[in-house]
Amino acid sequence: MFRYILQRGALALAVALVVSFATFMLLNFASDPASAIAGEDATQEVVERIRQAYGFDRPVLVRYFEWLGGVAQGNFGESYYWNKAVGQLVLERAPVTITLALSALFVTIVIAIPLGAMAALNPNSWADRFALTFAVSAQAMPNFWLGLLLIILFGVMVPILPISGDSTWQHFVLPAFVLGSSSVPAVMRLTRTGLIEVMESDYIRTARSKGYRGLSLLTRHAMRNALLPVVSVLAVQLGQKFGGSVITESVFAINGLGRLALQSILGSDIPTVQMLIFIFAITFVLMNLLADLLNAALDPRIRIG
Amino acid sequence: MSVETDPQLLPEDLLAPSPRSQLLHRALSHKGLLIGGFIVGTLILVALFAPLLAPHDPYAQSLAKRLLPPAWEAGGSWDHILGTDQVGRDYLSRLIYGTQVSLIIGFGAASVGLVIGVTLGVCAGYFGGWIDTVVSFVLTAQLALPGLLLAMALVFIIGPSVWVVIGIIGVLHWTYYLVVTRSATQRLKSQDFVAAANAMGASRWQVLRSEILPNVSSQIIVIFTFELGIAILAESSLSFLGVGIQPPIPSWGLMIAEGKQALFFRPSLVLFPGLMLFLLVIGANLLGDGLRDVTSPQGRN
Amino acid sequence: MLDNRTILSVRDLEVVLPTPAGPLRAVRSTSLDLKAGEAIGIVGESGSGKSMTALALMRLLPRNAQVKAEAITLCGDRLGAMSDRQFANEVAGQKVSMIFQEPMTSLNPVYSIGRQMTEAATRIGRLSQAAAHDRAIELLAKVGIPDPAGRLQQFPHQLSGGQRQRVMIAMALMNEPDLIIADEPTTALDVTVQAQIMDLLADLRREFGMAMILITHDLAVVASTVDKVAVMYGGEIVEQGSCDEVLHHPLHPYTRGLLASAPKISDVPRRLGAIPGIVPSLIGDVTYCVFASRCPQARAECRSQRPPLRELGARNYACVLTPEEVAALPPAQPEIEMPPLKAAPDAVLMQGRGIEKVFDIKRSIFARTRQLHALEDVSIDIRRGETFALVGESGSGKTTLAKILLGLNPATNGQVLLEGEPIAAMDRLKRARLMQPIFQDPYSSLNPRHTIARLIGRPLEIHGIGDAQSREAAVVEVMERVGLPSRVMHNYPNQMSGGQRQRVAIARALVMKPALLVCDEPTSALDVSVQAQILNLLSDLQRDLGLTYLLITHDIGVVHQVASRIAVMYLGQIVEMGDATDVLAAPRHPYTQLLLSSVPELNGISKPRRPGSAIVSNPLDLPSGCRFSERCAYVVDACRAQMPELRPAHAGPQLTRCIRDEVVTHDLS
Repeated sequence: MFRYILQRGALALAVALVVSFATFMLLNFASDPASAIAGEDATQEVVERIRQAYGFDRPVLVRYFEWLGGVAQGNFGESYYWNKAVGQLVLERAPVTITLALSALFVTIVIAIPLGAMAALNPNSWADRFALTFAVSAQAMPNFWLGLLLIILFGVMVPILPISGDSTWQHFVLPAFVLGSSSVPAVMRLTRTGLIEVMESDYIRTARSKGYRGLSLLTRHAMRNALLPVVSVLAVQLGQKFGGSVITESVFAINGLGRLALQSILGSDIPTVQMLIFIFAITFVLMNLLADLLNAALDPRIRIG
Repeated sequence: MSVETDPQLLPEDLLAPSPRSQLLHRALSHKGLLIGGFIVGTLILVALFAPLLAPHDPYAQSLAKRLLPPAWEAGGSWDHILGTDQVGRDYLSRLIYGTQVSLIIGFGAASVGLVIGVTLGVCAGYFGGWIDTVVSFVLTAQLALPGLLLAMALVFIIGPSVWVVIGIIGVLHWTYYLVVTRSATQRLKSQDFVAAANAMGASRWQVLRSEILPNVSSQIIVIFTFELGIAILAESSLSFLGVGIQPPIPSWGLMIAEGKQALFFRPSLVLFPGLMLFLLVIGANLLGDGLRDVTSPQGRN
Repeated sequence: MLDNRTILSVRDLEVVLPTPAGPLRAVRSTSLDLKAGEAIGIVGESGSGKSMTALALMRLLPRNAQVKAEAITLCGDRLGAMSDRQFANEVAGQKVSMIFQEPMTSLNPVYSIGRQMTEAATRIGRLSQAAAHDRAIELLAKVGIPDPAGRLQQFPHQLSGGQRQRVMIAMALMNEPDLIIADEPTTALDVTVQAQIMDLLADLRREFGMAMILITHDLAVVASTVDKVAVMYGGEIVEQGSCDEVLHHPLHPYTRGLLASAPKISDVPRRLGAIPGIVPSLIGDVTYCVFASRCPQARAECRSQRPPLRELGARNYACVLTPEEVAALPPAQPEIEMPPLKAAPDAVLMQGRGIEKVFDIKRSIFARTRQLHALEDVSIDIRRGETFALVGESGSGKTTLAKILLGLNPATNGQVLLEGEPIAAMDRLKRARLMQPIFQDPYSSLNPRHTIARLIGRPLEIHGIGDAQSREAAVVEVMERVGLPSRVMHNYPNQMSGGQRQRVAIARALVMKPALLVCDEPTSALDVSVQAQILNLLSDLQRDLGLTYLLITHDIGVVHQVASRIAVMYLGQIVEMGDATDVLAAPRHPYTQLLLSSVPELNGISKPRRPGSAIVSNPLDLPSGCRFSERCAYVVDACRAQMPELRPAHAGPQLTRCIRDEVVTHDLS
């Protein structure tokens, strides 16, 4: 068990390093941060001076390790665009996004798992068909468009919920629904197929031969097995919620990390973009680690090798 | 000759119809597949014949005819059935041409992803060992990357164009191909017919080409269909955020972003392109679901 | 405990499954009676409806299946009138328990053994948690699980297949049922384990006075375990009666054919009496005798009306033939002796020299590497024209050895010579022309995307032999040779039955005209009547074409039928090797003795079981010295001190890897 945690942790660390390296290289090869800082009208001379002042003339590998060293010490660099420490920017904006991501996950769980379970227990029934239709539609729905439709609905037709900003909990209802609904199809389908598979398994037949049926069969024998893969996917989806917050936050004018990312990209603020991508990747990796641990707790085959 | 021929084996006693006729039979009785195929097929035709179908030039501006409502609303005219946008361009024509943008980017990006994902997946599955370890690690790293954010940054830095958008979306969307082809190849590799081919003296290439690939092709087609929809949605998101297709090209995502300025005044500007997106992607997904049901003999899922 | 009370009575059970092609009448008018403590064996091949019958009794069929019966009575309760809820609360797991075929998947992997055992009793409040716990320990001890209290904390994946099946049996006994239904309880297990599980079931049945329904495809398993036999074919019981009468004086042509097609262990092999053809489709109404399409005695009326049910005292069978007519029939198995071909000792075709295979097992990149010695010190000679059989149970390394001999995997040490040339250095095309494989599972060995003609002609294509026309001619010729009509050449494997597919695989192997066929369990995925067809075919081909066979199998019956020489493998080593007649008649190694004595025999006379534990040593943690020492009844300290050599036996012409074989031999006689 200890070895398992160690192994998963090491893998997570390696992934984080590779991801940070890849994004650093991609962003620094593709862009010229000096001219971005200097602005569009700057002369070649000014750009050159900025390049030397910020040290952009040094090899990219050197700068990467400098950056990595900074991150390790808690120094996340300076934003040229906001004229602030990136770390401070992130800290200011993070709580909003974390709230949004968690409430979105809540929405996903509340809709997807009961729907998937209902569909699985009555294959080919109206419940199953409804769930599948819902999944297919939700999958095809552009997230930002759904947001705009809800804004039209609640902004004009039934003005009961705020449609932009992040000052009260009501402000999070619509964004959480939009962000959460994007994960419903994947989680719903997985719950459904997982549960169907479990219900057809030999050990469920054994449980039925012992007289289990209906709800007790589901809760005492099937659900834990069926939820094992769902736990992993939920963690992945939560990790992706942070990246997905870019769209939701810009549609609903929420000042979180996603909106910060968009603004930084449009302002060519590479250090901030770099750091945000890194943070989102780390979040994803940590969520996966959490899922691995949860799976180990639920599944003795992992716990006791 | 002392061998007794199996007397029961008459053509009418075969256990099942041929795979091809079974496939056709299942396809024709699958409602979702037919609907999805119809939607995607129709939209491909619309894209191909856009110049013939569009009533107006999608780029022609007319300040006099700005923000006309659809024909059935007060103030609308049948000359511009779906009205006009902020600079007076015919909305129906822009929607029709938008089909081209979505489909080109969808097919392009899904193909780029296919080449990357299938190559990595088949190699990892077939050769295993350290190649598999490396590919799995690359997969984990790719999954950890916030795809949309990275795509936005790269498109913005490199400079937006249709080809850049196709390339970047494609390069960021190959994990699904990889996961499926890898496990399918692993499964196939352990099948006895691959061992039989090796024992016949077939080369690695012959085994891959005649034994492995024919058996993963249907799965690849299914994923391609899903990735088509995913790529189309990704492009529309990028364009909506202003870091994708640039004006004046009629991309549906961009049209929604432009229409957003008049969200409460003229919601149809947001509704129509969104509906088109929804229709095309739902068509692709229904097609994908259907193909999967039809090609995997276990039936649904 | 025996009394004459009838505890189970089934009248006219019908099971109908809806399929796209129409209603499949999987079980039809099946009637059974079972007295308290009595055991009945339901025997049949795949598709006979035997498992359906059991699942219908337990209400475990898929939801869309329709089950009807005139009456099902269990201990006086009319089950037909019970609701599903009532059945689940009062009957399932209490009056009737079931044991399933797949011990590996029949226990829930995420819950402990203890929880799964006790819940059957605590769920209905029959026992308190503490009492159920004690009873579980008691039962685990009874089914022969060491350290039962410790086992309750463990999870299924920590137990071997045989142990899991013991747990399943103990679990079924928790509520002291009146009836236990065992659906192929030993099919997934090795024969030495099977023997012990069957003994255990028999002992428990006697002790608890339970009735049992044993469902199996294996006539020999039935022979030594049950009181009555019902033979099912095509969804019907075609013959029913006491075990002894049905197995030794069969009346129904199907029973006769089935018995004639099973390899016998005790006499000189005779040509098997194969039943031609395949089970007909049962869609729609069945207004004819289901066996008519394969019956050598079929008459016109058999195809147009149902056969009469003939009652003879306690037995009955459904056939137009009267007992007198049956008695006058020629024997179902031809009186043709087919002793396996022997070869001259100097005509060596293939040689294995000191083959060793070590797998590095690494659970993850951080775990330490453990070495699995899959093969050690394996040396064999295969002579031109003989059938050399590698015999062993799971984990013996026989399939690993086959892959190495085929040149598909490299050996860690040692050498394989084919016609004197090292196979590792041989051109793969040359190797392919000398040697071809036939695999166990004809569903996995044929690429489903290719037509039969393409599959059989593929080797010619790879070797660039001939043009399209001459390849097709070669394909037609070889199809004829293996008994496949050429009109199926444009069909696909999914359109054919298992036996037909195996013929395709044989044709594909023969099209290159190789000298050696390596047959890895060639018939173990097939029904016994189809196995007989394939074994006859392989024998005919060997005689006609002068082929050499290397046969890899766990099935002693098959070995007896076709092998000329045998090597018995245990945990990666050959423990005994010699002429088939010598080894089978007078085994000199304790493991061979245990293995051979564990094989159930059709004549039902239980042989004295050779001593030895059924628990196989962990291949990652082998005992020091002799690998069989942990299970061996003759073990002395010297056995554990040093690994014995394979050397000539003291009494007998074969080689054996045992230092005490004179003691073992003495004990046998």
